[in-house]
Amino acid sequence: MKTKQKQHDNYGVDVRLLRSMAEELRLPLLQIARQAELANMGTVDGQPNIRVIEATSEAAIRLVDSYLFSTQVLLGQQSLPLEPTSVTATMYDTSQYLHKLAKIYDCDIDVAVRGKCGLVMANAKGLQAALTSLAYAFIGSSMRSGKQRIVLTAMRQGQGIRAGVMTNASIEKTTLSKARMLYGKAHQPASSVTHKSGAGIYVADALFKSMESELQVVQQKSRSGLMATMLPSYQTALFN
Amino acid sequence: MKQHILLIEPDKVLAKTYKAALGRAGYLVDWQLNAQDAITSVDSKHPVLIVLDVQLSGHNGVEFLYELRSYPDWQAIPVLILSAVTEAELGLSPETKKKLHIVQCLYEPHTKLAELIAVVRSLTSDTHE
Repeated sequence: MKTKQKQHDNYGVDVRLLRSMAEELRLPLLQIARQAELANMGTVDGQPNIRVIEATSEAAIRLVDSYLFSTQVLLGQQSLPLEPTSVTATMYDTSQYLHKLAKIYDCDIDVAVRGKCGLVMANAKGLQAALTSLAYAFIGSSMRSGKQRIVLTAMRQGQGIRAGVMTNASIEKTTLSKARMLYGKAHQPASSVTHKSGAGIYVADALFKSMESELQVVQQKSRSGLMATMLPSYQTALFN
Repeated sequence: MKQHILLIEPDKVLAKTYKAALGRAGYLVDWQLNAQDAITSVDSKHPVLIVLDVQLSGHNGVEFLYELRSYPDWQAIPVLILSAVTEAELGLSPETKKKLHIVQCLYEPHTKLAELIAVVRSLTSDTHE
């Protein structure tokens, strides 16, 4: 019992330490992003190298912010009350945030909503942060030559709405379990999907869990991805 | 005639960036690091808008606003909060926001310079000459 309590206390200390580091890191990222924006302000296309700096730092700020948000949830400082949320609108916002970064990696990022998904029971801010983290983890992750395609996908699945990110890069079934091992083992947790740390997957997984949902590996024809199933809001009955 | 804006931002790099961007947009920006210097600046520059980060050293931004509003002449200067503290975390009631004349809150990590300029323009357009 004491050991469990000690583990929990250590977890809190670890998370607080990482939170402080993330907050410290966010400031220089913000400085870089705004300086880059200022450098290209007033020009039609801007300098390509400055555009890259701006896009990568903006995307990194989003990831750090999502991480900070997820730790607030895990530490009980923030709750994620479920409310009717438009999954389609959230997906379009996410693709807008990340399209500049995707372009740098020669990666197409699209939204595909199959059928009328309407509103789901989720937390708007949580869903936004989860989808952004997930898509961020996939961008530039393909080990294959050729163009990578990332699709933010939503579809009806039985009694629920399935939403997540699909890609033409292959994802093994062990990807998620590896990402979940990130806590305490921060080395290549999702090496089958990305050469990066896969922290985005871990953040998304934690946020979906806090919204009473869970990420699962999904295979569809030549694509694979990570998706979570959410309950539709009763307001979606309007579309049936 | 250019309008004065008071920028209260504790980070020097960000402050210089905001000052340059707003300067290019046609404003005269007076930047201050802390609440006490900001009060002195309001007295001498008569800004049409205050852009405030609430995370200041010494007195925080909200304390600064209470002090500012204690002077009858400075009741009407609108305040735009630009901070990494979210509006929810700030926890100000609509009544308090109205009382302190906080007209808008922008979440700093997600606010690009173009958006900041657009918001500042909309908030100063009534008094723009």
